[in-house]
Amino acid sequence: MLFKKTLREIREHFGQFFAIFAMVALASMIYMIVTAYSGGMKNNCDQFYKENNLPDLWAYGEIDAEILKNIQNTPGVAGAERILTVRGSTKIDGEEDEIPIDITFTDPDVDTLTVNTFHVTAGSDYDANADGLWLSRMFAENHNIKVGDDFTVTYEGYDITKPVLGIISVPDSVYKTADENTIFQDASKYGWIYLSMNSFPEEYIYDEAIKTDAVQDFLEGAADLEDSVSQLTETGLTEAEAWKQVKAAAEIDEKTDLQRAVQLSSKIMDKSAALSDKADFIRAFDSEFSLQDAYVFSTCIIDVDGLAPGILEKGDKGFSAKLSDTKKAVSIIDGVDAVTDRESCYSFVAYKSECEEGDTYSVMFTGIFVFIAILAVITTMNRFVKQQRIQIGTLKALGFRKKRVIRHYLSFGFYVSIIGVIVGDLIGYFVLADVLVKMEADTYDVPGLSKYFDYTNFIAAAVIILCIVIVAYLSCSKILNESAAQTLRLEVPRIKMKNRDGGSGLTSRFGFSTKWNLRDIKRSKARTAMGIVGIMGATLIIVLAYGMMDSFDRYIQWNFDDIPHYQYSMSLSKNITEKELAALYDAYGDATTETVVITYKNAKGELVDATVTVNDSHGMLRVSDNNIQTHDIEDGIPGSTVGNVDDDGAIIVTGKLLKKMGMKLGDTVEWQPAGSDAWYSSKIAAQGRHPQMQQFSMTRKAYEGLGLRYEPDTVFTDADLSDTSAGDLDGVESIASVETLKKQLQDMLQTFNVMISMFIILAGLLGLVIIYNMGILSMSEKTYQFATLKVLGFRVRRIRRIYEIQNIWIAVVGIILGLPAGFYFTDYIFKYSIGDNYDFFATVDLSTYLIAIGFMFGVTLLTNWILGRKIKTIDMVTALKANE
Amino acid sequence: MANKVSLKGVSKIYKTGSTEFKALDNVDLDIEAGKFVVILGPSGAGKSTLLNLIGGMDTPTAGQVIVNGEDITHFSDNQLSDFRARSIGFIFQFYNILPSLTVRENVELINEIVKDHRDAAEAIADVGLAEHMNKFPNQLSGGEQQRVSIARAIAKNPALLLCDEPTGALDSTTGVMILKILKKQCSEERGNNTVIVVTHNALIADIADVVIRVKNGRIVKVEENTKPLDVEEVQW
Repeated sequence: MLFKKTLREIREHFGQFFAIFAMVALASMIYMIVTAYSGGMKNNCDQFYKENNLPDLWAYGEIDAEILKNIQNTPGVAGAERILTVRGSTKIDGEEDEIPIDITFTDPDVDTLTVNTFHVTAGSDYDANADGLWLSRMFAENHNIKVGDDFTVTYEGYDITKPVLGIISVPDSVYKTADENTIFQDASKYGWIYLSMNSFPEEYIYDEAIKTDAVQDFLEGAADLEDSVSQLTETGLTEAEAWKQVKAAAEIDEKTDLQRAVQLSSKIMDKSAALSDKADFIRAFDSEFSLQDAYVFSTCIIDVDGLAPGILEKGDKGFSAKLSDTKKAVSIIDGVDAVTDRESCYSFVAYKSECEEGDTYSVMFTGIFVFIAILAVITTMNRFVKQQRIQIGTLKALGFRKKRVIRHYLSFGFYVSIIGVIVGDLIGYFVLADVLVKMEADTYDVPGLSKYFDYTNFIAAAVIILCIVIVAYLSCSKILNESAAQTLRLEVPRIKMKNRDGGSGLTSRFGFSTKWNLRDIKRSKARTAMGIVGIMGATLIIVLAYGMMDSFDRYIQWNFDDIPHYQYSMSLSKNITEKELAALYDAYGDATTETVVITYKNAKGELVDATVTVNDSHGMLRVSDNNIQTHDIEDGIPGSTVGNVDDDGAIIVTGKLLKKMGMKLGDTVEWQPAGSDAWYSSKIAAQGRHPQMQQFSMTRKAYEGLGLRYEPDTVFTDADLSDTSAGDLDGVESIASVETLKKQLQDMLQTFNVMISMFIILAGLLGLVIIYNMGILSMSEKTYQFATLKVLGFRVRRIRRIYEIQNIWIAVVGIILGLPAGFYFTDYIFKYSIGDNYDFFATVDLSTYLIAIGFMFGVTLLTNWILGRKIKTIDMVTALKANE
Repeated sequence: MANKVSLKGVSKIYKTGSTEFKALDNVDLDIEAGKFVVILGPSGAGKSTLLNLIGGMDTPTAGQVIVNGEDITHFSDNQLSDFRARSIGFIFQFYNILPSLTVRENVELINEIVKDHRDAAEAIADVGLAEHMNKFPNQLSGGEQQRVSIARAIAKNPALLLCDEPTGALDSTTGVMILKILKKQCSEERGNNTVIVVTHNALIADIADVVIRVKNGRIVKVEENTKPLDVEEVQW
């Protein structure tokens, strides 16, 4: 019977119970969504890493067969393969610009890949002897490229056109961006392919061979050699004899087919040689020349014996010690320049931090909504049991045991929250998790990325229900624990005021309305506190929603307007010649940087991989101080510089990295460039900040002061390169436009609008529920007092003002507390829930605060208006009779 | 003497869903100024309804209500508020004083709405609470709280003092004290106020100038008491 009563009363008070239901449903739904997609991301990716063997180590150098063998024989190494990854580009129909493509050439001697293997979505598996390429799944889907289609990439001006043999995903390319300035993976603007080194453009190799000094010397003297042969034949020597004598006289290798080489040299010199001519020429020049010998592999991907820790998986016990030993052992192999582990793999780190962000968000946002639900429960149940007072008394008087009555009233919270949890979880898991997983699947290349049911949802559901039931109990325990007789008497607020307050207290000096409201607040501390917290929470959500947008705008300004004082950056080819570089300088200026991969020793003496940007950009690539003001590196960082940044070896460190290093400004850090045996000591001369790269920087002078050679790899320019592609410029691998990168990011951030809209709706809902409930509670407590005022002759408008002013005070206090709380919450999210590489912070514009203030006042005035109307309808007779 | 209150053919019907309840049925009544009037009747007879209509707390379903020369039958909410403020002092069984205001502040509340009010301290002194001026209601006994309620009512200088079971929640000694104060309001010294007391305590009828008996929503008898007793003389 009581169950029927429960259901009917929930129906009767649908509005309030729906608010609790909605908050509980939202809380459990958010937890479910985040765990479902975040759990799916972790599990599916771990499986992908395991099945397709994400490398544990990456060794860099010119990895020839001997070095490879040494690596393979190193204790702890379970497998090692060589690759060469270079930056190329492709032209897609309908696309204005060329799209950068990373081309990875595999070792043709390896029949079956064992490290970083292909997950084939369509087409065939890897085959070293097959003539074709394997294309990134996301890129293929984005550009509708199918197996069997011909795909052309251009590397250093050399086209490679091959049929697509397979559409694939590989574990080290779950998240890859075109360059370090791009934050989000965008498969429409960037892609990658794999193919055997057998497909490497032969002409490139021959051209490189022709560029060597020996060949160039030969070409320059070829005409003289031919003249010598002519002169000798005129003396009566046979042509063969003449060539023989000339070869001997010029001390040319016996095996060289001098005649053929000289014959082709004119074609080579006048650039009319076809590929076959170049091949013939090189083979004539060097009979031992082999294409295979010319292949260069810059990277060796290594699988260390045992299971490495993934995102969720902890990996084998002792694995990290083994990894460290193996890393050390590989790094000392002759020819190995540097060795990095998964922590330096951008894809691995970015994906892991995305998963960690998910964990933070799930706890944080679930917490917010549970908190809101609790507030709604407190206010609703308080109000509800007050309305039910006589019924509670009647039940008790009828002989219902206290426990039974308590259980009955707890059942309201229980049923509503259990339905909320079930509905929230069902919608979360079956509808919204799919939407989020799809969004993540569009961003991350994890095969079969699907949602995952996390058992902690059961715990979360139980905790949420328990919280609601406990809060419901606490909200109504006072009435429920009264005796039947007490409960049957209608509640007259027990107001205990001290004489001091009335006689000479501060409140006695105010007018009636102020005095009455201040004393009402004083005796209703809990209700007032709940109102303040509720409004604070709603204000916080609005500031958070808009503050996130403000902060992203500030981040974009910092990253794309303040730091780069250039329009375009050109990534230089590794093989750029002095002549090509000089030509670039002439055309576009000599603002350059070089990124040097290093290993440094942190405060504990551990070896950590990092990069140093050697900055010779003449102020075009600027460094930031702690206040996000940017400066030419030559000027140091005002306020954070010790000594001179141009001193030999002086190094600048970003704040977060400095903290991670366990060092401070003025300390000395030891570091070793990749590929070098030498260690260098650098004084940390300045501390800066960077939004997305925690790294070292040096001036060119400081770098060269250590005796190191500066070899720029990027040129910055303000020239308009909108109609220029990398292929148009010799020695340039890719061109990035700051404006384009900025626009891409801004487009990506449009999705945040959806989230912000959701937040605003929630803030509004929260504000309305809390303020309305508080108002109703306050109204029901004061009804008889308002009736008394009416009887005395106070006009309704006057009473409304008295009533409304208190709500306005509460709103003002809630808003005042909510504004900074919103800022700090936004700041917390930006600082702590994103990856270590990022240095974000909250920037909240004045307009955001004004919007929050306006919105919350709007909600307050609206609820005041709705509730204030009730004063007019207070029936003095009934209200005062009820008091009796 | 002129009529202070005049009810002509007044009916009051309460509707709950499809059910109608006739609380007053075609009541005609005249009350002269300066009288101490007691309305007697069993529970549900309609005596409180009668009081509420006279006090402008409720409006009749039919008929005409004239108080102090004003026809309040069709007054708007604001007009009724103003009417109550200027003409009526109410005293209830459960005092209805504001718990968060002190004795003085409760009485001074009148200053907010009535221009021609009495001095609050004087009104409080009249009811014998001068020493408790700065106390809060929870620091007073029931009788003292009722006296605060009376002080608040008389501070308005009302033409009509309406009391709904003013002694219902009090012991007899305190009840006597309250009745003495109320009776005093009809004296010349206090300006010949009209006091109407609703009660079902028949003993109070002995001190009244006029006794009106109500039953089933009708006035069954109006008795003039030519020799009303002093409050002290009544055997409580």
